[in-house]
Amino acid sequence: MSFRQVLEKFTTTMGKPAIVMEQTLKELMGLRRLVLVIAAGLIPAIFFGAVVWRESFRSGAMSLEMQTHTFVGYFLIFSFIWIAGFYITYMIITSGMDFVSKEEEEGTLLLMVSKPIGRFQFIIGKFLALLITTLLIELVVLFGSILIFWALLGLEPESVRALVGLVFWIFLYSILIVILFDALTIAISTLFKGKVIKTVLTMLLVMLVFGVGPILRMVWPTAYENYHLYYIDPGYHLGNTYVSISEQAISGRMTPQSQAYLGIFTGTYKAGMEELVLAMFTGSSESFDPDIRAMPPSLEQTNYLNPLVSVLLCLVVSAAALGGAKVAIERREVY
Amino acid sequence: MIETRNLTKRFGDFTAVDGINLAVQQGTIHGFVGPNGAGKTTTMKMLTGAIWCSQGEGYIKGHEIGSTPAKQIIGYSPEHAFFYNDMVASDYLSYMARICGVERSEARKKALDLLNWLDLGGFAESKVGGFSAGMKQRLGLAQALIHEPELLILDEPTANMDPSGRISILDKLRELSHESNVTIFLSSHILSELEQVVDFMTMIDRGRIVVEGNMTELRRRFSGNHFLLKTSQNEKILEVIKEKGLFRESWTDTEDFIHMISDDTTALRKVVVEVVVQTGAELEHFSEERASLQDIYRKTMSMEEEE
Ligand SMILES: Nc1ncnc2c1ncn2[C@@H]1O[C@H](COP(=O)(O)OP(=O)(O)OP(=O)(O)O)[C@@H](O)[C@H]1O
Ligand SMILES: [Mg+2]
Repeated sequence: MSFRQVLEKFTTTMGKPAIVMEQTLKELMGLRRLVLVIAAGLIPAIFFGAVVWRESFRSGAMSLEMQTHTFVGYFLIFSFIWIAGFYITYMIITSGMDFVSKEEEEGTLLLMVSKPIGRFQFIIGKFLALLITTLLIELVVLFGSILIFWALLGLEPESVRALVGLVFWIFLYSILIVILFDALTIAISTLFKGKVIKTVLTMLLVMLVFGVGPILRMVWPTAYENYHLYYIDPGYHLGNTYVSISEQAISGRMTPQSQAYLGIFTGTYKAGMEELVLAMFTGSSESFDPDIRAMPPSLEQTNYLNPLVSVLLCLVVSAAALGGAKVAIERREVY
Repeated sequence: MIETRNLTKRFGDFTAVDGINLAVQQGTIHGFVGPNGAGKTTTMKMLTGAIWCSQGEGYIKGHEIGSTPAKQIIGYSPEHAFFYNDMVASDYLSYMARICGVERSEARKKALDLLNWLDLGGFAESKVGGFSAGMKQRLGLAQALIHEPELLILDEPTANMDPSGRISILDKLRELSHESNVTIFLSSHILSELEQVVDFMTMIDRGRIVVEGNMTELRRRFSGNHFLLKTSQNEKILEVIKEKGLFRESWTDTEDFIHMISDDTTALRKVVVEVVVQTGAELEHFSEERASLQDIYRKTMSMEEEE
């Protein structure tokens, strides 16, 4: 095959999904929808900025260094749980769940499958559109949240600069979680038709990713380690990736408080109830004395798995989900 | 253009299409008729790759049915077409065009031209969701035609249209066939209309082909050697022909046409001319009555019933 043929093959295989992608992007990026989705994403920042963290960051209550350090920790947790967590997964699920099943229900799939486009190409186009939209919206919400915190808490420019520096790393991590949820959602949308079953499945999925790990570690901590349950805990793999990326971002200066939260949520640090309670109180300015550095000690990392293994596992699961969707859509009879 | 061998579709225990061998020749307009539930739509969906056959095989210009190259050749308008209701017609068609491989720059122009051609020009910027049934049917045809396919597979393309709409669609199909050499495979229940456009016909019943062939031949085959004659001296002529024993049956209708069913058509033709000359009568009309599609359909179906 000549280079030209290879190129043509590439554009013909990439070409069709790109067309579906473009069309889906147009639908997902409708102005009204965009405004609503972004507004929803910014609400927690307003709430935390205006209510929860207001006292802690009253100007002058903290040294600049401490402010930056503490807030970077807060922002890492906030982003993990909300922006790159529940928010984007919810967004992916609500937009992607109907991608295929709605076309089938409404009968538009019949014309699509009779067109000269591979059925999987059609799915890939949708997959890419959702991936791009989610990441773009997330970026806006990340910067938007920083602006809101800046405005509401009166952060020093240096602290803000540190936060902006985090965006790249959080975004990097987001690519993984977005791929994972995008693939799983599309698989569910292709494999199942009923609204109820799809909703139940996606709820189970979110619970599996964010809920099962913490509960297991809480009620059954020894089994979690002894039976290597972290292998099948998606929350751990995501957390493991997030922590290693965050450590990169802030050169290993993760606050014990962030470690405690991440430990509870993902199992990446040895953290239980005690550490959580401690974390909740060390956050406030009253319990912290910068002169004697009365910080609680750093928590120990669990290091169950190399983060690369976690990344790889997430990608394998995503690929498997897309593979399942491919098989399902190619066997499907469209009436 | 279309060729199937033993094409079969089963839904559980029920066989909707039962081993049909279809042959649609390039450049023809080929009608596909049969009673409700005969398996027309199911066959068409197999040909377009929407559903898979349970057995047998099919090819579109040599490409296996359901493959992308096969689909590239086909423009398909389903019995009930559903569109993206939130899109405006021209955007919808441009999208479909691009999916079929039409360049972006051309897609929009093609979409607008086609909408104009199908008398939907005024609705190019209207949302498809608001279209009436007949307009949707036209749009269905438009999306089938958008990439200038060599083969059109149309499932009841005129079902929801008003009388003048039907005629104009049929005219357009004829135009496509004659000017662009598009092969058209279409189903319809309105035989009198179908008859005006088709060259070939396949009739199915309960999933099997019961009659197929060239329309001219079929008409002859089903005409039952039925002749019509009208002269200025009907009675005299009828008597002479009767003496020669050249027809099985004859009657005269209210408009003074003599109907004759003959077994020896060549002899009858000759004798009629001779007799007219001999008697010195004026010949007003002499023709072989050709069976209409409707006749063919009725006869075949009654034969099927008997079986
Ligand atoms: N998805 C399906 N599941 C079960 N049976 C089906 C399915 N689709 C079609 N059938 C059956 O297959 C038979 C053929 O249906 P088909 O729609 O092909 O008929 P048709 O010739 O197009 O009829 P019509 O003239 O009414 O459009 C019918 O008996 C129908 O009930
Ligand atoms: Mg039908």
